[in-house]
Amino acid sequence: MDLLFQNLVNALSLGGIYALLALGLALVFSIMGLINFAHGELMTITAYGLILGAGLGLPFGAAVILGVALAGLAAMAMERIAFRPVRGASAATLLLTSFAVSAVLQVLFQNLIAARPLPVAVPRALAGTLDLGGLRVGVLPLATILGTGILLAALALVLRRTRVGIAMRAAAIDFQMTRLVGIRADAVIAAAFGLSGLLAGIAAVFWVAQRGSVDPMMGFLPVLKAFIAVIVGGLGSLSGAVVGAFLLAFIEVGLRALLPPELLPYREALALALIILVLLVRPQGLFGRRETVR
Amino acid sequence: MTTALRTTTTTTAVALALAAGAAQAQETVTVGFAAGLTGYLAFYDGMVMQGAEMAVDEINAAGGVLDGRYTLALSVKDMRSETPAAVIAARDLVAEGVRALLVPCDVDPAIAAGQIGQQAGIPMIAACASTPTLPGLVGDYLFNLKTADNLQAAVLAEYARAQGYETAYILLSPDTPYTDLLPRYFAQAFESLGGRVAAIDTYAFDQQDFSVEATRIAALDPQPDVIMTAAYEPHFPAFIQQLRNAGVTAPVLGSDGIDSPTTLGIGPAADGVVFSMAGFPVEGGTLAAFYDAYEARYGEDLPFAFSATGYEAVKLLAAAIETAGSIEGAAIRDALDAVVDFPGVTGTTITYAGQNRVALRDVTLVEVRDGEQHFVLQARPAPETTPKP
Amino acid sequence: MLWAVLPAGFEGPLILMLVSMVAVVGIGIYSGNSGIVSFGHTALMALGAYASAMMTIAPDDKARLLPALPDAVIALHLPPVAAILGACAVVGVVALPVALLIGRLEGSSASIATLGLLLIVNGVLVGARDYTRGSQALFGLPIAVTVPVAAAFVVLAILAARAFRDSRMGLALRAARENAAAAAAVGADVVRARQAAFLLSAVIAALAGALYGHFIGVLTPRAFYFDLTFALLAILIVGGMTTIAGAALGAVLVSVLVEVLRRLADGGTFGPLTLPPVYGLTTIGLSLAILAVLYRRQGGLLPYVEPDEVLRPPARPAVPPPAPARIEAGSGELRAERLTRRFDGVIAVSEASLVLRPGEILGLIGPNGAGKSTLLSMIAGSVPPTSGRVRIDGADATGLPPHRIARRGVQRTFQNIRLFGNLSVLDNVRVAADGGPWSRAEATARAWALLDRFDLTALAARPAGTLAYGPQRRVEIARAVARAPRYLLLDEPAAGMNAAESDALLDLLEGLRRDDGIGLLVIDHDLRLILRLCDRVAVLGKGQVIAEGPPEAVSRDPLVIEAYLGRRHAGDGRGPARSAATSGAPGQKTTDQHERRRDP
Repeated sequence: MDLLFQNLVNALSLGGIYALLALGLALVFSIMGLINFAHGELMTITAYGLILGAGLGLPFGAAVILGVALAGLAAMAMERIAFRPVRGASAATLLLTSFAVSAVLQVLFQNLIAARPLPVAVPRALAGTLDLGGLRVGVLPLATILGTGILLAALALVLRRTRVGIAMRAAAIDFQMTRLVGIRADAVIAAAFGLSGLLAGIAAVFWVAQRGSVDPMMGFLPVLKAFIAVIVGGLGSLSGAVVGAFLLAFIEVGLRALLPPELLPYREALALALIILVLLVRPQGLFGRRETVR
Repeated sequence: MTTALRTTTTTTAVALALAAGAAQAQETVTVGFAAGLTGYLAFYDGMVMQGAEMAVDEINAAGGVLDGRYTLALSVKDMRSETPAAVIAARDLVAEGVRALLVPCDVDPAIAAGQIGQQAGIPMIAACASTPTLPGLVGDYLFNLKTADNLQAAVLAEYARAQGYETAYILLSPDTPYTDLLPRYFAQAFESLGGRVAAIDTYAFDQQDFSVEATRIAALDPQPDVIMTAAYEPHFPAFIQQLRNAGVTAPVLGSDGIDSPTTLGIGPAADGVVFSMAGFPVEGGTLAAFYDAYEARYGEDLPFAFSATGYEAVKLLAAAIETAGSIEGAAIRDALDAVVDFPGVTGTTITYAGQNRVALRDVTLVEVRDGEQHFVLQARPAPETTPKP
Repeated sequence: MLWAVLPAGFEGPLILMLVSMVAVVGIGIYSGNSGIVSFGHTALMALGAYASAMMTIAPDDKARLLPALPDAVIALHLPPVAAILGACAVVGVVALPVALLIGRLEGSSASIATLGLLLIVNGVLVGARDYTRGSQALFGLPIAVTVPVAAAFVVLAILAARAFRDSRMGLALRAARENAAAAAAVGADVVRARQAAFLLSAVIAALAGALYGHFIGVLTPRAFYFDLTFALLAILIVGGMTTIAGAALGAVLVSVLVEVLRRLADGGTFGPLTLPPVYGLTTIGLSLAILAVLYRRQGGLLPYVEPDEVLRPPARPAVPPPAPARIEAGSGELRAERLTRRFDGVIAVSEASLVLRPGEILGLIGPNGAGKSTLLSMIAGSVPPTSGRVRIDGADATGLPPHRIARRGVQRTFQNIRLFGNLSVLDNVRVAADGGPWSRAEATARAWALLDRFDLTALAARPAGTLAYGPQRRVEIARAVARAPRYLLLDEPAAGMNAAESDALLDLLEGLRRDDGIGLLVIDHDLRLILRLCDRVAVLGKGQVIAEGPPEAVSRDPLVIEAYLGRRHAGDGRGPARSAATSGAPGQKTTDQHERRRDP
């Protein structure tokens, strides 16, 4: 029972991180048809921001704000510099552009910051466990669940209630239409990138707190997972991305927790097989529209 | 921060030119290094390269080899931490006419480059790939120098039993020989010394979330006396962090893959971790002197044992050339294969004779406390404890 | 001193260039012809390499490294070249279901599916460690790829790719790349062509993978993952995905770039310059090359046309063009029976019935949004009717896909011209002629004959997208005729033409009816043209056929007048018609969406 509960916590905390990433990917995809593989480098930027903050003697909280803000700004800069020239091109062109951007950033990190992993010290407060009526829960997973949960709720509110949020959702459904009703495309796209950058930044804080180190290639793996989550959830659907992220996390954690030891080495292949099964039943993803926006 | 990496053959060439001016007409013996200067191997191969550079310069400053008939040079090709690029780099180096080859720190590219060197009959040293099966896989021209996995595992097991640990929990990854074999050697040695392996768990290389594994360990009743893994970064920092966050307090043993600044920099989670490495800079020892010279030359970077084994590799080659009296590949190979008690800079002697090209040497254990390494012991495992490769 | 390169040091990069050339030429068979970027071919390369490894690694080594393998596989020990070809065959079998599946997809979904293929194959190779050694290196492949061997396989790959490109399937696939709806409308079975292309390209990719394996000697799944995918796509993008020459040129340029950057990255002194080493310079260089091409020249350096096609003008074959017999009147009829189509609750066409016989010209008129194009699209198969039937010469054709309808003798043109813009005028017509019951050479001869007839001969080699409006319309009609249809559906053929062009068109259409005996259904707003041309006229109003008969009778019908001009004295005269028009296509869409809504 204890084990089950703790693995539930593990899955929720991993799913929360995936969800923040997947949401950022889906937001940008639904607005400009771009699957941004350079999304992971935004996480790396946040992680380096944490180290920079610590180096400047900032308290951890301030370093987090610095790191997340850097990711948001970097995302907007990325859009302005790299993606605007190819706006409106085919999904494959956009995807390739993002691969190239990702590769360039990785090399820049290697040359300008460090080729090897750098340690990120996490405050003692985040280590250790809490005792919840006999159930032991790590502080960090709990913080991750609370943090990502609050953020997802807040985001839902922003997307439903605020003007820019509604504009973004409208643009996600029909971008051309949104332009016609007088919303500036540049502003919506910039806002979407900025928001996706902030989400990636916050996800990175939780991710790095678990990981303890940052290296130039760090962002690739989580973004690959988020990409799978987005596909499972249905390309172009924001809620689908979140559901897909939690589904993926539950599959991963579930397989690792439940598989007998001799099958454990096959868990990645099994997880993929389960994902394929989902896609065979619903090729457009769980919440996908048959015809995507583009 | 990569400035330390940025010294290449050019500086060597300058030093070489200066040395050459003093002596009579000398020929150059080039040692090639197919090194991962970018990618995940950059940290390890970069330090091996620097250590090798220091040895080359030192030997040339002392007049070269074979009575000053030859000076040494180091030619480095970046294989970008990619196995195919390692093959090309090795071929380029062979085409350049290198007389010896250093292979990359990871086993796969080491095998790939090794096959090229083996075909060309060029003696090779793996200065930091520590898989003891490597020389057997590649052939009779490849020598392991770093503390072999089975030696490390045996010393760790002896230490664990000496501490009174009865049960061990083992985390391995089948994705590399190092992360797979070293823990298995440990399990073998630990059991041969009367310990019991509580469980063997696995992780995958594209996994950075260790919450499930940590939870599983935390739920064990009774708790294991010790946890052993050969995971290195980025997995080790993530694992230790999440292990401690799950409330597990059992001591953790690691291996030389975590001899890196990250282990020292992640904070309290790494406190108490004991791991094996090639040597420790005890006050007044040869390694301390080497590290001083290294810091003086390359600046701020903390030295790690990989630089020392890079240095040892070139020194060993030079010694083998002297013994052989020749720069021919087969002669150097035979000389290497007969080495007995070569004094290594890491504070141990190195023996190849009768070891199937896997260096027999001491293993050092250190403990992490407050972001620093503290010497625990230096030992050569008992032959009967040492698992066969 | 690093600059002083030895020729011997070039052998490795040269072989690697040739192997990557095989790979990109192979990928181009699928991606270039279909226009779909594939991320999955590196996975097929991996399969080829591993398959060849299973056949070449010495049995002793296999038994040691992979004891779980079946004894029969362990015992296999073929010479490398035989194993490479064997690996191609194995991958061909494995890739068949994949090809059938991915071939059904188009556009971005296909790209994403190929990305999925990459992830899955990698996951399986890593997971099945008892058979592949998982993430660990599988080694012991004999190193057998020399420059001549690699060069020979490059020639083989290029010949295969060129044969496919020039084949009926290749041409059809290229046409579909330019315009999928039009390719279907001329009867091209694009799905099958795409499946065949994927399969062939999978085999060539496997060849490249096996060559790679026997060059490197060591395999890991990681070697066939994103880095290699990215490098190969860089080659394709830079050179131009749509031509074989582009792929080959890309391989040369990128390899040279990588070599130069590799040397620069090591730093050193070049004449007066001393450069510091920059790690990852090759990656940056490749990425910037990709970005530059994507920003400046999306088709790559050699897009769409092979160099020899530029140098050598298209030739007329020696065979005479086949002359299909004139279609006899009374030999059948095309019937639309009570066709109805609803879009999201809005009725676009309601119970419309029409009959078209060979040798007659039927006009279909009606106000904007009356449902004319929807009715035509239902007959042509691109919009499935909600209810009602389509019969071609008595046989039920309801719900058949457009290419099957086209194969039954019904061809169409589009309201917004849909040509294969980057194909030559000749190829535009040839795609359609390819489907006829005659040889390839005869099809080409027929295409030439049609160009002569439609006054397009001088423009034969021009990309169709560069023509003026009038000639574009003529190309579209020539294309629709090329397969010798019995019925031809023309959606506003004279729209946008000046009076002289329009008159010439009238003569051509007259000729099709008179000389070929084709039955023509013509939609147009130009009442003068309709009245002059048509034997009968049907009028569509709000989705229903409100009148049908000889032109002069219909033009006097009060219902027709009302439908066209609205109720007199009713203020906003065209109110009803307008509302029907807008309900079909709310708001302004991009051109593409606009077309999609209007024309399916």
